[in-house]
Amino acid sequence: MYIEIEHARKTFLKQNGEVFRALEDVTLSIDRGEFVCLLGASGCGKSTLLNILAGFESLTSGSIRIDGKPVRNPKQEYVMIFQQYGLLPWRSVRKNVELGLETKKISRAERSKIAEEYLELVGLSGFAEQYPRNLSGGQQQRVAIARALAVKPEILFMDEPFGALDPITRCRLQMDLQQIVRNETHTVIFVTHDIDEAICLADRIVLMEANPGRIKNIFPVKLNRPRYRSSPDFILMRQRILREFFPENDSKIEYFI
Amino acid sequence: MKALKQLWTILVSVALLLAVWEGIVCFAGISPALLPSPFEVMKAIAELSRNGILKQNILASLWRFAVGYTLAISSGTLLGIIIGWYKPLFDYLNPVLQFLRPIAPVAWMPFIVLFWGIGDLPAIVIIFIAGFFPVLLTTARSVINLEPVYLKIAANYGVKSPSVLWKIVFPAVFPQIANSFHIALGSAWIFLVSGEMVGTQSGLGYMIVDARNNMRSDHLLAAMVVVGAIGLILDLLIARAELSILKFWGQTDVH
Repeated sequence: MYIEIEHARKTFLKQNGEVFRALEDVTLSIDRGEFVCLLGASGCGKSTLLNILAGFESLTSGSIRIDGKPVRNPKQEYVMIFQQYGLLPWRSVRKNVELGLETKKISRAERSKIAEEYLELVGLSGFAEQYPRNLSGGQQQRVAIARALAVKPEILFMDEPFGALDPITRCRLQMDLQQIVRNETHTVIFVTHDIDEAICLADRIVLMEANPGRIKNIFPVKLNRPRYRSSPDFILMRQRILREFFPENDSKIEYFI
Repeated sequence: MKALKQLWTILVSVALLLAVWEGIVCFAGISPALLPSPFEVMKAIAELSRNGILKQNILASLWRFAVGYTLAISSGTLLGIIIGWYKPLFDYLNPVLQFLRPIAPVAWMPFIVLFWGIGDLPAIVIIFIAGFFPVLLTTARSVINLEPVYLKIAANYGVKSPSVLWKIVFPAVFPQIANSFHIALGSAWIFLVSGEMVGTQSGLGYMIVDARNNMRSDHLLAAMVVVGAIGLILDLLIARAELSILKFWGQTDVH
């Protein structure tokens, strides 16, 4: 498998001296080109797992291998997209997209061309000379996606990337993301607490639980794309996932499809 | 409209100050030699400008100020970034800095005079000390408290140390540094006068000492008014620069 997570364990020492088990014995394999959503309530360790996969944090015990190599440090091939966009406010949109290209041996003209190309891909051509402060949240996240794609990464890690956006913008970005990712055939690990978002995007949904953070269940999502929230299969899928979170409510569900 | 209203408030506030001052002079029966009226001071300013003394002293002060302040903010920023970036360095230095900071810059004066004699240097050193600490400490702290996401991005996109310092860290904390420049400007200007009261033969601080020695309270107040006015103008200028920096960095809603 492309990404192998074996018996991953992560503990923190809390202020009061208690041990907080952010991840407990997490084992998961992910295929190249797969779109996996880590879904769960806050505190289930989904963001921690993502940060460890991206090399920002390390495991307490267990192992993570990507392409056969253990993960130690962040790499340009595996790029993270943050909820708060992480754009550099003092740089123009184009210079933001060029950030990752500056450390490679690419001429200035070439960098500029690549940046334009990816800005067009995310639907922001014409915004190159603007500054992040002039952009809406959705546009800023598009710039962040363009910046990530510009370095031609193998994996995209996305940490609740649409969490700060209004529902309509969020929907639009979900649709566009599917399109973009299809075309670029990336492996994507996407953290969210939004069930619909997970069903909308994922090939597989990894359901996580808190205290200690662990995998509760894994659902393959075999719906055709594009996926519509109102389609019967979509609703059925949502029902199945909700039942995992609220088993006690089974008796109260009024109908099954 | 807003600017007009602001101007109006400023005018009223200044007029009020002058009225109170004039009132005290008129009705308290204080000799003009002890407390000259606003009009006398105005006359003194006019006289000092006409014979070129004022201009000469202002230029001398501004020159010293420019040198001391520029040295303070540039070295404060540079060292602040370094000790903020290498956190253990900050941990070891911070107690000493906190100990030195509350000592008024003029307290160093005897040593300064012993080491560097008299002339421009003592005043410049005083201005430097007054401006250096706020910039150093603010810069170091803002580097330490830098948004972790910036460092993650730097690491993710392969921006290595030391280029991360000028590519990411410095611009990211620049608005806070600009704020410390503003604070430093205020305290440095205040200490300019005390810096020039010892060991110089020119400048606004010297003017004050000279007026005292000659019992010219009108000249003394004239110098004070000029110090206040220039301080106010410098503050307005840097406040404007700071605001445009904040706007550029997208850290304010004022457009």
